Amino acid sequence: MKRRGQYLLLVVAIGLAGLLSYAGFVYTGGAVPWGQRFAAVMQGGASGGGSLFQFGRGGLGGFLLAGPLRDDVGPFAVLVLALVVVSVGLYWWSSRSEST
Amino acid sequence: MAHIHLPEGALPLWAVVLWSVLAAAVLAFAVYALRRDGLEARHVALGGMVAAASFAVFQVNIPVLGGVHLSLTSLVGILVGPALGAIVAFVVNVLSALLGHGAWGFLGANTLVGVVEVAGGYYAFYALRHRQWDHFPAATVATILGLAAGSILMGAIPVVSGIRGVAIAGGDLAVYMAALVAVNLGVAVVEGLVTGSVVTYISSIRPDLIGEGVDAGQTEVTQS
Repeated sequence: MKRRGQYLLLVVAIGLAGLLSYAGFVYTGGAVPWGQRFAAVMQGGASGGGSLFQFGRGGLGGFLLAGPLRDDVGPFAVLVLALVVVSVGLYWWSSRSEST
Repeated sequence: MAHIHLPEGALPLWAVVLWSVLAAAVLAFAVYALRRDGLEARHVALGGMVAAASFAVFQVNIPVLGGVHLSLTSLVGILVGPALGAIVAFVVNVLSALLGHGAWGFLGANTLVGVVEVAGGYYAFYALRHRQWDHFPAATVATILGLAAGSILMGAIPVVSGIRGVAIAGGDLAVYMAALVAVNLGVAVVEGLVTGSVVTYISSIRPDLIGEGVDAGQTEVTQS
C-alpha cells in the first residue's frame, strides 16, 4: 500500500478509536482512575464528565505510580533494577560468547 | 494495558480455575514452541529487557482518561515474538500482583489478556509489513488492533464469569463492559503512538531486532 494510504488508514483508526473512547469515558464515570471506573461499572456505572487530561493532579506532571506502590516504592525499584541488571548482564555475556 | 482491576474474591472459584487452566495451557504451548524452535541467550536477554520496560511502564499511572497505565505488550510481541512474549506477559502480571497491582485470582485472566495483546500486535505488525507498510504506521495500527483484541477479552471475561457481589449481570453488564472496552481504545491509541515511535527508532539503529525472517521487513516503502 502507498504511504499516503497507510497514514490515511492510521488517522481513521486513531479518530475512530478516539471517538469511541470519549463516549466510553463519559458513560463509565468520566475523569476517574481505572480501578474506580471498573468498580463503578460493576455497580451499574456512572456517567460523568471532567477533563480528558489531568496534568495538574500532582506527581510529575500528573504522572503517578500505581496506587499500591505510592507508599513504598522500594520493592518496585528493586524488581526493575534486578530485571535490568540480569537481562543486560545476560545480553553482554551472550554477545561476548558469540564473539569468542 | 487492558487489565482487570477487581478485588480478590470477585471471581467465582470455577472461573478462577477456568482462566488459570487456559492461561497455563497457553503458557505450556509457548514453552513448547520455544523449545521446538530453539532459544538463544540473546533472545532471553531481550525478553528480560522488555519485561523490565513493560513492568516499569505498567506501574506508572498517566494523566489521561482519568488515570490509566500502558503496558507495551504489543511492543513486547513485535520484539520477541508471541511465544516468549507470552512468558513476559505472565511474568509482568506475577510481579505486579506481588506488589498489589492486580489480584492473584485474576492472574490467569490477566495473563490471557496480555497474551492476546502480545500475539495480536505481533501478527498484525508482520501482516502489515508483508504488505509493505512503513514501520511507524504498521506498528501503531498493529498495536491498536492488538490492544483492542485484548480489551474485548478483558470485557468478556467478567461477563462470562459473572462477578460476585455486583449489582448488574448479563446483558446490562455486557453493555457497561463494552463501554469500558471503548475507553481502552483511547489508551490503545496512546500506546500505539509510543510503540510506533519506539519501533521506528529501533528499526533505524538495530534493524536486526525487527523483522527477523520477514522478507517485507527488509524494504521500506518510498513512493507516495
